[in-house]
Amino acid sequence: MKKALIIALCLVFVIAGVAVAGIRYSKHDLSSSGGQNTRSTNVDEVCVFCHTPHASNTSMTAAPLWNRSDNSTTWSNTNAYTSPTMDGTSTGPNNANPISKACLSCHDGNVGDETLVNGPGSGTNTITIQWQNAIYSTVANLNDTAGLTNDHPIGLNMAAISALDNEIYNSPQNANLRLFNGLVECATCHSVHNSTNYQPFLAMSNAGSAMCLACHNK
Amino acid sequence: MKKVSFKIILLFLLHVSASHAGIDGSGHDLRPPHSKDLACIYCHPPYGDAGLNQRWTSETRSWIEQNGKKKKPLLKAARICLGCHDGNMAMDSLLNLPEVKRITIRSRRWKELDDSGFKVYGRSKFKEEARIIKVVNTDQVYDATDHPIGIRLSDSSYIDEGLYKEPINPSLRLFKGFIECFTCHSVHNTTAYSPFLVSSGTELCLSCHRK
Repeated sequence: MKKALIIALCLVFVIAGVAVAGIRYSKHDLSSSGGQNTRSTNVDEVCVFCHTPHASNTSMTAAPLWNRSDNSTTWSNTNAYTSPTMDGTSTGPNNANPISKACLSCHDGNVGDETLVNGPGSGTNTITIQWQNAIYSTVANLNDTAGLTNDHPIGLNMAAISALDNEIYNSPQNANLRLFNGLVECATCHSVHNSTNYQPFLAMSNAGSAMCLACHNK
Repeated sequence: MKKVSFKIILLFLLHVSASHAGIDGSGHDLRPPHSKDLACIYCHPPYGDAGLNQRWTSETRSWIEQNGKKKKPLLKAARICLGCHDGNMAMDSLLNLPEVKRITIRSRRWKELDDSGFKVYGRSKFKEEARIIKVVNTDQVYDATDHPIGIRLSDSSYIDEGLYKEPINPSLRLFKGFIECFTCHSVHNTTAYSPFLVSSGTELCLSCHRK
């Protein structure tokens, strides 16, 4: 009985540990203690690089209590993705919808470019964020010479495209993939805080390409 | 016997002065320089019938905005904070005024601190980030500048699995189950966590939000 209780307690802690581990110590943990390659060297908070409890930027309507200003890096290529077999239109980096613009505010290759509306501590912008590797050159930098033209399109009206292309479902066949006003956006496939299960920050497992096949009828 | 009781009195006095050390010199210390008053009197009168809350008059004027309409915040816990943090400190609205002459001196002091100028006798505006206006978000459109208050965490957690049913950090206090200003802020206490927070910035967020 006692053994079972102890085992149960251990399981509770293990499960709790797994459930809580999301953004902390993930690549989206930009804090000085987060241990990531791209990080701040003088700010040891996790949420503040995108969120603030007061005086947030309400022009970002797709994310709550947004803490980033709107002075994004210049895109070397501002075109939207297109292809000969594509039946629909997507958005480019400058006319992306707010939910994707939130992601592009860092994934334009320069996390340090946008200023925080309300820095940690008292008063706004009281500290200058110092960065380690603010400009990055990995795949996560969508602002390569091709811009978004070499990335899976966003801003797609899935239902409208499905009417034209019978190899696209009317809506995602898995509830973990969310549309935003009916549109496929970055946050359809990615879950920004959640690094626990499917890398990188995927909303569901892509084993056997299950995530691809949830929209593409192949 | 005498020695012992002296030590006890000394300890008591030290304890009392230590508990004042929180608010003295902090952003909540509203005294002008060289003031002989305790910092307490700007909120708590030694005499008066406002339940020891000096800010009674301005408290009833404080409000939040929901869907374009002005509403009283839900609990007194928030009204007390919003009594100043609605942008108008209204130093002439104390229930139990000190001598008028001394209020004048204080008003002059706030003129020095106040960038936007002096509107009404005894009133002072202050930095935008401390001015709290609340807007409730409509469907998938976030237009609140400030973290919501006056909502019950346990109710929200039924709808949003990204929230815990109650804060996992015991420093965060709910008021009858509601999130209020006092949940995250401790008004008298300048701890290591600016401004007046009960915990470090990230720990604060992750105490309720399961991210």
